[in-house]
Amino acid sequence: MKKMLELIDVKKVYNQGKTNEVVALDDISLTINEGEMVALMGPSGSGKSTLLNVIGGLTPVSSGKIFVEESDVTKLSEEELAALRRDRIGYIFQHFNLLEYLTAEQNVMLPLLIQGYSLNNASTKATTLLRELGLGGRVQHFPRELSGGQEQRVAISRSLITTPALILGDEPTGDLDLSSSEDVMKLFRRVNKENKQTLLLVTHSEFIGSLCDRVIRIDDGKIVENGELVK
Amino acid sequence: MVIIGLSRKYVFRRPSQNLAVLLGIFLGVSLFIGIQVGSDTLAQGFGAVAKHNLGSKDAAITNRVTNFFVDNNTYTNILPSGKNTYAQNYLNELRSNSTVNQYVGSLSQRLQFSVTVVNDLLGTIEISEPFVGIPKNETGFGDLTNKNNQILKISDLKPGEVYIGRSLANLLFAKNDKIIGQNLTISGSFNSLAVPFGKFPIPSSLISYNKSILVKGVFEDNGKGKEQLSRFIAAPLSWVQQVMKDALQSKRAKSVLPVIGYGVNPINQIIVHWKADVNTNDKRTMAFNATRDAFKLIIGPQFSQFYQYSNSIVVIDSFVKLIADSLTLLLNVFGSLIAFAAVLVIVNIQSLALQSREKETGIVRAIGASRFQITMTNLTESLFLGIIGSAFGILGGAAYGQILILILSYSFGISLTDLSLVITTQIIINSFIAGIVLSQITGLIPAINASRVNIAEVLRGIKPPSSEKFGKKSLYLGAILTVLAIFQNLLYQDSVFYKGQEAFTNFTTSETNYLNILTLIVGPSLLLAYYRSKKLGLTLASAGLVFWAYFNIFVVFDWIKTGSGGLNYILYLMFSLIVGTIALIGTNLDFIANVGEWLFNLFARTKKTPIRGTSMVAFRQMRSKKVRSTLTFALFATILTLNIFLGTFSYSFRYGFDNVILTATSGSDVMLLTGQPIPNSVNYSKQLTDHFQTPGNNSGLKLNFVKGFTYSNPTTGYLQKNGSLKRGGTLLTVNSNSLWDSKGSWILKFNLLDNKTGTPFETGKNIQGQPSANKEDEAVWKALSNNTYIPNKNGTLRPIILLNTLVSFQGGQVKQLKRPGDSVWLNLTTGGLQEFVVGSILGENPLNSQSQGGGPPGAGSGIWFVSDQWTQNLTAYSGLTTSQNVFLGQSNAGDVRSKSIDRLITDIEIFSNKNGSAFRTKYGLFGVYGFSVYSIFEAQLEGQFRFFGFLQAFTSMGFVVGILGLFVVAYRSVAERKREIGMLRALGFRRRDVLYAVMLELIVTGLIGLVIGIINGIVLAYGIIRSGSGSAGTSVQLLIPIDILTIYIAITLGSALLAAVLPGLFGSRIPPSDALRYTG
Repeated sequence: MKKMLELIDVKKVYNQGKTNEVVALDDISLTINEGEMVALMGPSGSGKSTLLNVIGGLTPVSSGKIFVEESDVTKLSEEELAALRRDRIGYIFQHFNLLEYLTAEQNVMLPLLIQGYSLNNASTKATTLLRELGLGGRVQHFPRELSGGQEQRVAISRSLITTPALILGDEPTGDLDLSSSEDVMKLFRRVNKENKQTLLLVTHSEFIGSLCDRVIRIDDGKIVENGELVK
Repeated sequence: MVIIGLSRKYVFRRPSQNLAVLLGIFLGVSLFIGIQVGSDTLAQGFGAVAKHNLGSKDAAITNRVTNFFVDNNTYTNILPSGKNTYAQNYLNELRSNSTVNQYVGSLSQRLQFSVTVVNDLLGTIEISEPFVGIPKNETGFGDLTNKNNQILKISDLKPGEVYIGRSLANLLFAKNDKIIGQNLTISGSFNSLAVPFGKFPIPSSLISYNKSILVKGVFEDNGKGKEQLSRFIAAPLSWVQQVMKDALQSKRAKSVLPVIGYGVNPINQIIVHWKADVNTNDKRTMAFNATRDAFKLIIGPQFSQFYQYSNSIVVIDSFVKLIADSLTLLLNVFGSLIAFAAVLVIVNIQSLALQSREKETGIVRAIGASRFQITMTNLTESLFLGIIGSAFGILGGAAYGQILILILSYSFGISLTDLSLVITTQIIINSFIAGIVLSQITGLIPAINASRVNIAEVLRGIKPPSSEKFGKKSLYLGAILTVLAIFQNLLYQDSVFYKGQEAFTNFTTSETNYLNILTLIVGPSLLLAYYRSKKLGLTLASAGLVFWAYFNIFVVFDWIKTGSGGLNYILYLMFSLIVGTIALIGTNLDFIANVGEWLFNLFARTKKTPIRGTSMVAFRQMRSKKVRSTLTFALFATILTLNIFLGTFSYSFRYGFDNVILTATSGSDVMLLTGQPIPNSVNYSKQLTDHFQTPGNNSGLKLNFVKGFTYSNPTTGYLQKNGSLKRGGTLLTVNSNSLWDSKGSWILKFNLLDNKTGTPFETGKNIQGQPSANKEDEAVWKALSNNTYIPNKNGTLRPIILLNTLVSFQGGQVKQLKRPGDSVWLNLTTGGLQEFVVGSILGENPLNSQSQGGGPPGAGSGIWFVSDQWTQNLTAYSGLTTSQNVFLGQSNAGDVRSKSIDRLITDIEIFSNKNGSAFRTKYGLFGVYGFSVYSIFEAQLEGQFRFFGFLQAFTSMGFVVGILGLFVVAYRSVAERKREIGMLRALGFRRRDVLYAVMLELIVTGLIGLVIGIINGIVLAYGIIRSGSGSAGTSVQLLIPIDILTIYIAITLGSALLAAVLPGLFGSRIPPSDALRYTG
């Protein structure tokens, strides 16, 4: 099976050499294959978000290597990292992080526009996707006019619109109620099955973890459990 | 206590936000103080310069009569009764008078004439330079010192020796003291006619003099008592008196007796210097009145008839105060607009500071703080900042004042030593008041808005959309304004309701109607904003303001026939244009942003770049932050409107004046005046044109032709035989040598042939020997040049006169007062009036020709043409001699502003005046003084241009305010969007995409301000030019100063770029993972 993501001895130390030095990731090595849907769990401060950030190149590692498909993230320039995030990685945040001054459609269009799509093509794609996700009636609504569940679906649409190979979710259901969380997870599963997209989802919820193919647990910056396929 | 405690914490614990507010207040106070310091210093500076030039001359007695000697026969008739003594005798009497001695420190005597000075060696010449006789050992006038600071004593001079001032020496091209030991020639003439008063009509007799003088020294500008700095010649009084006597004796065999103070040893000025304790204007005025009474007793009742006694120093003080007050008013008017921009910045900064702590406010409200407490906390915080800002503002104001002084010194040529910074206690108190008021005014609305936060939504981080309609206050204000507007318009007799277009026939009613209509626009719009929609109401109000201002500029200004444009009218226009356009664009910013985004994407259509994402973020952010964006572009719109208006106006006035000059001169670019009469001017004209058929050495220019004319003094003509219906004008004489040249028709009304005896006039050839294109024009010209008599309405023959159109305005209708065949009357020197018959009404100056030129400057409205055979008979020429001959010429420069013309004039002066030149050797020295026609206008324009330059430099201070405002907005904008930036980076935005997004937003915002500023500024300049506020009225062309505009465009976009780049870079460099953790 093709490797989508491979981490080799990844270490991330904040404030290195100072009195307030924190080892956020301590020699993490793991592999995630294409088409997997993996939950990343652990207590607060265990390093889950940091792990996601180093994978996406949002923060540099202290040592080690990270391969997304063939690319070594740790060796990419700023430009190349931006291109990687733009073309291969989709991000979903706990607080949705939608731009309040853009409509649902425009928020979803944004990644396409920075890929160089024309407005018309981007709009058509975004509207189609939003309709598929049950937001056909909310296309022209601003974030403040949407419910939390709807906002997250818009945020998910934004991460899916470029059909990225890898989707990184930082507690994507953290602000949602159980029912909305279930809907979101169904959606993830759907795109995972249909498009063979790989998902790595940070979560506190055992329930969410149970809906994934595999659960990786970390604590104090180390992998304490790297579960095999649950189902 | 809670309020003070909280506000103290806010002040000191939010250094970065409050630093911005502090800076804003600092700038506002600096501006306020700078204006005061600047204008106080100005008053002092002008006063110092004026007094410096006065020297010890505190007051002066001068002769009212400038033509001084009379002959024996007439002397007894006009001498003050019982006083057949000379002024010097008066002087002795004055010196021994007890009242005079009570106030006067010294009395000095002078004999001063204006002479023509020729540098024989070079041929250069200056006219009307003071030739001043100073008694030996005179000290009251101030010492003359040379460049080595040695005193040049008058007592060292022998007859024929003089000292010459540095400025005059420079004008004669005699720099570096080479002139010392060199001879100059002075020449002049005066009239034996002593009395200009109608009671004593004595025929005048011209007395000319011509003397060689030897320059013994050059004195510098820095001495005291030089009324024209160093632009005069100083000689011993006794010798100057001798020059006069010699001149008289050479002219007349008879001895010349004195009159009104002149005689064997004449003087024409007594300079009064007060005692040291007469040192205030009140004391000076008292001393002046007391000594005037004493002089009257000594000289007799004729004192005020024959002498003029001026309270010089007090007059100058009052004049300086007047100038300083006017300047202060102007600085305040323009300063208020910059202050308006500064207020916009501070409001923006205060709003940003309070918005950034919305959540905090929500929490404080959630735990029980009232809205009043929140408002007061924020206002108290503002107060603290206001006080701190004021303290620094005094320093800023002093610095700004100093800059203004430098600019002023440069603009008006005032020495910096005469200008010192004046900071009074009052200014310091004012600065604190200004700081406090500014902080409270700018903090009030943001503080009230902050107190109104929706607690639940703010705590959840949701920003609710603003209401679609205005609140109750809009209803009340709208209702009041609407009712007020209706009453204003109904109660005002000259309102547009009653008079329609007639309501705008003069400036005063137009100004009132302008305001009344403004109220009528704003009132109902506010009601609409309450009942229907905020956007609709605001759009209508702002569009109304803009439309009304434009309507006034483009339409109403054409209707206004009388009065002059008041500063208030201009201010209202400016404010309504600025506020209107800002509100219009601000209210519809979403539309503008959409258009901008569409245009931008159109531009980037073919490119596969992330630019569309960047532009979407930039434009959408701009429209979502409508108030902030509006305040930001409003800043630039205000400052640029002001600067571009001033720039365009002054540029148009300077260079758009060309068509005024061309109309007046129609191609003449050289003007020559002669110090001595040239008997046969045609001969001189021919000599000149022959000589300059080959280009002059200095200029490289040829002279196409030269014509001679004679001007009169300004005079009065009468439209009725009984001497009523006066009209002012100037006569220009034409003789048979005054060849005319016109290819076009210049006669508007011509009916000579319809006159009773209507014999057609002969036609001839024009100046180039070609038959005239218009025989009638030429016929009239010939009639004039030959002093032909033509019949009046009664058939009696009277001399011909040509008039420009004479009209009167009656009931708004233009009525032509005189038509061909009508008569006008002019004063004769022998008393009575001479009737002239109007030969034709001139459509334009008959001496003009667009192709060949030749019209004298000013030969437009108010110039009447008569035959030169009337020169000696009309009072208009009293006191004038043929030395007033004027020659107008045209070079081949092709541009009246060409500097080569000045060099051609030097060539002409050398040709005419240089000792040993062929012309001077054969014909003698006539003292030909030349100047370019443009320089007549330039002197006036230069002053205006410098003044506007000063105002522009003053208003450019606004750019500092603008750049600061933009920078703060950009910085705060980036700081509060940290999380958003992190998210954009996570989505794949490159660093530079983030930078571009920030830059694009600010540049477009600046661009909106720029476009508003350029359009408003140019339209305003056009309006003011059209309003006829300028002396040239509508004749001045509107010229757009491309170079000035380019500078403003560069400054605006450059500052927007600068203000965006640093915060943009800061934003783009925040690690995305950190940015995502940011919670505001």
